[in-house]
Amino acid sequence: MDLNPALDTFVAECRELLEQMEQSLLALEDQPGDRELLDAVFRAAHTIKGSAGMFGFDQMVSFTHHLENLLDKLRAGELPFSSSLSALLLRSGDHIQSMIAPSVAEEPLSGEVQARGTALVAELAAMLGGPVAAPAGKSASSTATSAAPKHGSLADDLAVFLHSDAADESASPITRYWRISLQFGPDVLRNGMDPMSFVRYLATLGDVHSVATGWDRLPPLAEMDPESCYVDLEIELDSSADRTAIEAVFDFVRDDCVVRIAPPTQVVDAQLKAIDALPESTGRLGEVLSAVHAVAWPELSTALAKQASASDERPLGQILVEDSAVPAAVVDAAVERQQQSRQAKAQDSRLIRIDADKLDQLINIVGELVIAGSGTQALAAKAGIPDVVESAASLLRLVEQVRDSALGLRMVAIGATFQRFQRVVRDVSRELGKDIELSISGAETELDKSVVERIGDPLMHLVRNAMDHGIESGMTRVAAGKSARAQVSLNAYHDSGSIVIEVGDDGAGLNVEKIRRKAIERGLLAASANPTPQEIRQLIFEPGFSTADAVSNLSGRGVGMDVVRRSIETLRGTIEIQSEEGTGTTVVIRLPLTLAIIDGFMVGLGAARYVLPLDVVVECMELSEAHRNAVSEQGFINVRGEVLPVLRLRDAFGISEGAARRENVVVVRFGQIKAGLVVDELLGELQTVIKPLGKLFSYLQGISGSTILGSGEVALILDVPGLIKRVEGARPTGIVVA
Amino acid sequence: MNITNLKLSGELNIYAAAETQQAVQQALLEGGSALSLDLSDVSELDTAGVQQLLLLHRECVHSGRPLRLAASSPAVDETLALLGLRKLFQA
Repeated sequence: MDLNPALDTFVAECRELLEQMEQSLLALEDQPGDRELLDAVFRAAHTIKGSAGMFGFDQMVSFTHHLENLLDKLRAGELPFSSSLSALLLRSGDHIQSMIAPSVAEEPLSGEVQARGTALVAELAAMLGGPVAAPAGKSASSTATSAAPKHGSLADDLAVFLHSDAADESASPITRYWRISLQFGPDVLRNGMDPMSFVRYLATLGDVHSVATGWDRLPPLAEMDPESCYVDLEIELDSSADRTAIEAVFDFVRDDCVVRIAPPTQVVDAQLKAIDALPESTGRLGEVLSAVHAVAWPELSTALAKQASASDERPLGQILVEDSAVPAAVVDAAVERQQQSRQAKAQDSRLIRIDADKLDQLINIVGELVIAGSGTQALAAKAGIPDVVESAASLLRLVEQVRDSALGLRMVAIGATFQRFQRVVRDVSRELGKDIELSISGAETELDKSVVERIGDPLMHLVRNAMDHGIESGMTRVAAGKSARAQVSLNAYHDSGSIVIEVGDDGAGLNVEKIRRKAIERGLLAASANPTPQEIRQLIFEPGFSTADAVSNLSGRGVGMDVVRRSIETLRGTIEIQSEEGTGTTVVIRLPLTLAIIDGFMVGLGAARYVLPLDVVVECMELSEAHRNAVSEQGFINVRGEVLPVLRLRDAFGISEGAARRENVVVVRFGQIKAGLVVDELLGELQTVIKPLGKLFSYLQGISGSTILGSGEVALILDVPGLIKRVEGARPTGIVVA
Repeated sequence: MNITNLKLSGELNIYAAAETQQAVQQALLEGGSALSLDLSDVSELDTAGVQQLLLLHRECVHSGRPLRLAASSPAVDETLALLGLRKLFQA
């Protein structure tokens, strides 16, 4: 596949924009009146259309165009935002998504996609043609605006602002009027125009509140030319028309008359708001001002011509304020806006997209560098030359920094993954007829990109499960004294070198007795066994524990919790379930931060070297003679009053050669469980690049990978969760450790 | 008291502006101590006509002579109202 890089960017951007659009739409369902969200949806659609147009993806352009039309109406307030509309918009987003791949591959759209597109366009058109506000609704302004060159959506925006403002506005009467100053040139009358007629025409746009006629320019009697015009008019107009409409009244006298139009304060306020709401791409001052109708096009072109002429050195903003009575506040806001969008552009360009393969390659090389660095340090220590030792130490410190930065590049916040579930929860909750809200916390928690990519499916399963089976029906909830609206939560945080992801619900919780019966029935539990409730709950992750009609009537979707557990385990993570009957269930997933490099702690068993992830090591101690006996007899050790299960790695791995004179215990912790591992030697910390074991060794228990030491030897990395499970499992079920 | 009466009639528009200006000038030259303006027969008044009235008003103010609009017509009233000049010619 030889995709050109611009296309890659297009695809990535499109996906991001569609995600943004979806999120904004979902947020809009909660806050239907939120203007910013609606603008965000529009911007996303608009940008997609623009980019698709650049690549000539006509089908995407034309579909998005229909979508944009509808959004336009929404923005103009001519259509109310409803849940059915939102559903249509969401489906339209999905449709755009499905067009991306075929468009980029230059393949024709499949029949199915095409049919869906046609159906959606019809639905969009139906919405558009439906409850559209009657065009006569805004009589005064619409007649005049139709004469204006572009009757854009922003004109409507302003009209909406004005109408809504007018309703609750009455506090400051002085500011209610447009103030129009007309200074007529001498030839106006001769050219067959009468200044009075403008006053009459303005009366069709609104209520002419006052007119003042100025005659300061009337010359002395002897010099007066009866056919020349000398009067000025100062008019106060109460009108909801926009500036372009008012400006259009004077189109015919533009050459013969100086027109200054000062908007009422509420219009100024509306314009200030509109400037804030503009898309960030709007760049030039004139564009910003005309986009919010703070200046009409004829005024702007006059001002631009003045600016271009050598005689006038004032900046455009000043010309507009002084000559066209554009309020200074509006010009200032526009200038500020312009600077903001420049900054935003500058910030955009500080982000670069990198091919993930290049990044992986970098991480690999850094891994080799770490190994080589450790080797150098070992050699330096062996040589015992102080300068070399020191130099090797500072080299290694730098290598560590390089490693951390390189790994940092791969870290991404989990928020984007979590956000995707907003849509899932919305759709599934409707499907199920339950009122469910998703709450997200810890979205900024970072973890390795490769982990993020692979955590999506298990999370999806857990979230669906929680909604389908965890959460009761609305009636049951109310009867149980809970709020009808159920909660599903996604939470993430860092905890001792792991990232913890929790999927919680406030549903019915797990019925321990039911699971127990089921497990006995399936032969997963001896009928005589006496496990703790927690152990029983964990049983739902067992492969044999069928999803069909189990626990809370789990519908057979074909995938069970064991599949979730397996996928978590391939990420070197663990999964645990916490539940209290009646109040809810939380699934806790614990994952390693990264899959590539860890800080390790090396131990020796006979001649072999093993590495433990440093994060799990709590403490180390020498195994005394008394302890030694306790270990071999009972498998437990008493550490300052705390009894810990212990595993002798020599026994576990069947190593018999070179029995050590002394043994040591490394106390490790994973999640809530602590255990002791008995080893021969403690060899200290080192950086370890994890090399996965080949498929041949995948059956090995207690080993999670290998690493190459500075000396070139191979050391095995111990799978601490696996080992802990082993000591836990070794304990006869039911014996209470105390 | 020597009052000059000025009666303007017909169409006080741009076409009659030169004529009107002459009549105004004439009236001002008559040297009465006050002016009384009769516009009852004016059928049309446009800005050119209004300018003549303004001229008359200004010259009267300058020379300290009171100007009174003795009679007007609907066309005159309408125009003066539209341009916010009613008060000027009422006193």
